[in-house]
Amino acid sequence: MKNTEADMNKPDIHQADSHGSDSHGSDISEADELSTLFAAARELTPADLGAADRFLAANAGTLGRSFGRAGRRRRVLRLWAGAVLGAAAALGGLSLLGPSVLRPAPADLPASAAYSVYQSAIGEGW
Amino acid sequence: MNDLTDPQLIALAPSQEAAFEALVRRHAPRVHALARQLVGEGSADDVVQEVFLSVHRNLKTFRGEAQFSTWLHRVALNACYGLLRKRQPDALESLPEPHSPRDPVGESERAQLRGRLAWAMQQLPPDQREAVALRELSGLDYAAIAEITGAELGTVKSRIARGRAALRALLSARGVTATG
Repeated sequence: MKNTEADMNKPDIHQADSHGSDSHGSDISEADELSTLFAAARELTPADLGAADRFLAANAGTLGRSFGRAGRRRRVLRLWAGAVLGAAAALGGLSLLGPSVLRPAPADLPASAAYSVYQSAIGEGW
Repeated sequence: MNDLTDPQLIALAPSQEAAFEALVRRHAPRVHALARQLVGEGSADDVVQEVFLSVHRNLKTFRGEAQFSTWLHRVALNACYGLLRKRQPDALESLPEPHSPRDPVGESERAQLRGRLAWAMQQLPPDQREAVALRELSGLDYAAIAEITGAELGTVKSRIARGRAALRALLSARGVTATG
């Protein structure tokens, strides 16, 4: 039966034997034996399982400083962003409330002399 | 963090130590196992060290065109080659042997078989060794191996077949069988 590409990609380690000669008459003449050896080699050992812990412990200082620097950079950026946004908000608010905040409320206009004359001659509400 | 996918962790890892740790814990055992076969037990931690420091430095530039595991294997192979260039690989005689011949079929015997397989792997030409290791130890498919090694698919299959044949010859010459 012809092998398809999908067949070739199956995790069947016997597959590779179809490409090579098995001319080495030997104790390991069966593909199963080599496969068994590989299966044993694939099993994770205690040393494999502890690799992450050893790496993290050995590099705790370096990684901590690196991530600490990144954290400080983020905090500084957040502070700057906050300050800029705060300033922008303050300026925006001032521009909206400017007439009432930046300038004193206008005092009552002084009555003009002409108005006084009219008022005295005609009375209130002319 | 452990329930996040690799791409999710990669996005967080440049700024969040917990995400980077989760990536290390997820992948370091397999990287160590691959390195153990390629450079020997005594140097596997050096490879893990170099691989994950490199990952830490370069995570921001990882664009995700390739799978993270593919990229990781490429980095791991480069680290192994760098180490092998600096020194000769461990000799079989330096690998641990069972402490007692009366040990049942157990961890000590498996360790012995692993040691002899590691020795045989180190006798292979580098291109066959990496193809066999990626296929048989890391469980990658041919396409991924072709991507990692930059070789054609047919070349990858050929290297694996020749590598396996050579391993059988090497191990048989030493009288090694899977059953000990």
